Amino acid sequence: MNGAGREIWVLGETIGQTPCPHTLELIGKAAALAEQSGGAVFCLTDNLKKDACGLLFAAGCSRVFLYGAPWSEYVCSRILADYARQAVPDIILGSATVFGRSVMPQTAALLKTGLTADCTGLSMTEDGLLLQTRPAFGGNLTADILCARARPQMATVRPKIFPPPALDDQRSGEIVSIPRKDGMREPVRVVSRIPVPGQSNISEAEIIIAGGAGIGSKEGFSRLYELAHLLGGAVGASRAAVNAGYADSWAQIGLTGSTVRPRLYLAFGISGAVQHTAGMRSAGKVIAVNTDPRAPIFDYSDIAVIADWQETLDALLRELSD
Amino acid sequence: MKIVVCIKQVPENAQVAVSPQLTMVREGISLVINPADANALEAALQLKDRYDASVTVLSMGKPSAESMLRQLAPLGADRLVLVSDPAFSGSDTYATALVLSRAIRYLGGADMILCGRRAIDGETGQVGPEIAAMLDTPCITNCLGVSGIEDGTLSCTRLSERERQTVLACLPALLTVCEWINSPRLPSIFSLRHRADIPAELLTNRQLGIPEELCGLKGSPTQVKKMDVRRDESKNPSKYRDADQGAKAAAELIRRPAGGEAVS
Repeated sequence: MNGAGREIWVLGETIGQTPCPHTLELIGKAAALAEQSGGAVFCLTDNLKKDACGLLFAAGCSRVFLYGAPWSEYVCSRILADYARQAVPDIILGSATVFGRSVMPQTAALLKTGLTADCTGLSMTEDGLLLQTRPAFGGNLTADILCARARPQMATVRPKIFPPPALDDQRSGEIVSIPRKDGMREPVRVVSRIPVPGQSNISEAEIIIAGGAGIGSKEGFSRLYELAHLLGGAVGASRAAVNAGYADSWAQIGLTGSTVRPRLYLAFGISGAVQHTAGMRSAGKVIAVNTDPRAPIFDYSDIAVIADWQETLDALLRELSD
Repeated sequence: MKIVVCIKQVPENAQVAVSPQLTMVREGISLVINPADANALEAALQLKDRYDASVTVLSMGKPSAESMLRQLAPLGADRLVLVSDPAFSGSDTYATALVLSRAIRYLGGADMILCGRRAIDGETGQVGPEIAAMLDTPCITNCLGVSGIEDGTLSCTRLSERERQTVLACLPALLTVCEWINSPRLPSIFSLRHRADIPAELLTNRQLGIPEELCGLKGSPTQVKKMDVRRDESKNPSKYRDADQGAKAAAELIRRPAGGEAVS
């Protein structure tokens, strides 16, 4: 497999016929890797206005393979695998979104290659391999992973792990249409889409406002929604809060709930038992509010507010509304 | 209708150990069913309550996983299958999906395959979609529930970042389910008495016949080269004993732009 193309491909995602920010982040990262490996960055994407391709070029890719209509996960993974079988790119990167988490493993399996999920670091080794770093075993460890023999080397990255790239309008590139395959099997059809408010899908949320038993009531939890609304975040809960009936079970964060890795985590009235911290220890910045100065949650926090959660919430809402 | 539910054993809490080969040490650690897989089983049992269906529970793991599997018989599982072979140890998600997909084929296939959307230890969520691709069945991730099955078409809802989708899929199909879609049932005294004696069938590579170079650590395209213990000491937070001051510092942190790796 050595001597394969040095291309780095990025699986693009779009919203409203423009590239998603996380796609640009990946292209920026791919361009930095390509500089080291001496390769080119291509993006395969769907349903994009032609002039929006300029954004992809400005972010650092030189060729866009464009599918004219929105593609399903099934069709996308089959086309991506077909194209990769012919061109044998060195690397394929995709976002760890609901879409990417479905398409990338399907594609990797079709290509009989490896895939590393949720990478927090990507770099090239001296041997020209993609070094993939990810949290392992519930966040206790970080693992450096290589895919030495099989090609392409594939990895997913959560949105906002890499910074938005500097956009250079001078860069241009080539647009290649991906022809629609007539008669291709389409075994999955989305027949209705209902928008969900804010980011109620907590495992994908970038900002989480979580409450624990200390919140004391369902009404108390509704106050957390005020802050979530203001910050564009989602509301999460500890097991204790769910068991007490203050919050729904889908909001539960921890070992028996969801594991989250938001950029920002605010914990109100959460003591921080292992049950809970195992689900949020990989969060970026953590702000915790608790009246108990010895609450274990503070060990996972950047800011510890040892005070009443309601007073602090009120003050915070005032600060942020200014 | 034949339903296969894939179940993984995971460490009960955050305790883990790593072998010199950088794979997970499972000995001496208390293992439980991965939470989302228990929800997948419950979803399968609910379908069995509504339709004429058989439920096969499939797990890949050490021989000791048998006792966990046997606990599932009283809940209503019809068949328990443990895939276990020393050759499979050290498998990454690809090699795991290969074994499970071959096992499903060996068992005569399935109309529906249910998995948890991810395991709490590895957290990749990849094995389900990989099995689907290997069996060339459609894959619907993040399912919130199955509304019905009619004429070989399944109707279900799934959650994406922005929307709740209603999806129609041709069977056979693979679904991965979210943890909060149902509450796994407990066995009744009646079922404990009458259904407790289904033995777990053991499948080894003798039956599956997967070439050695495609098995376990050898057959895993990805290899762990290094493992670092994540620092879990206190982050030494800035402490505030006054709500207003704390809120001020918090607001400042919230307003700060998202950090990340510097552009190189």
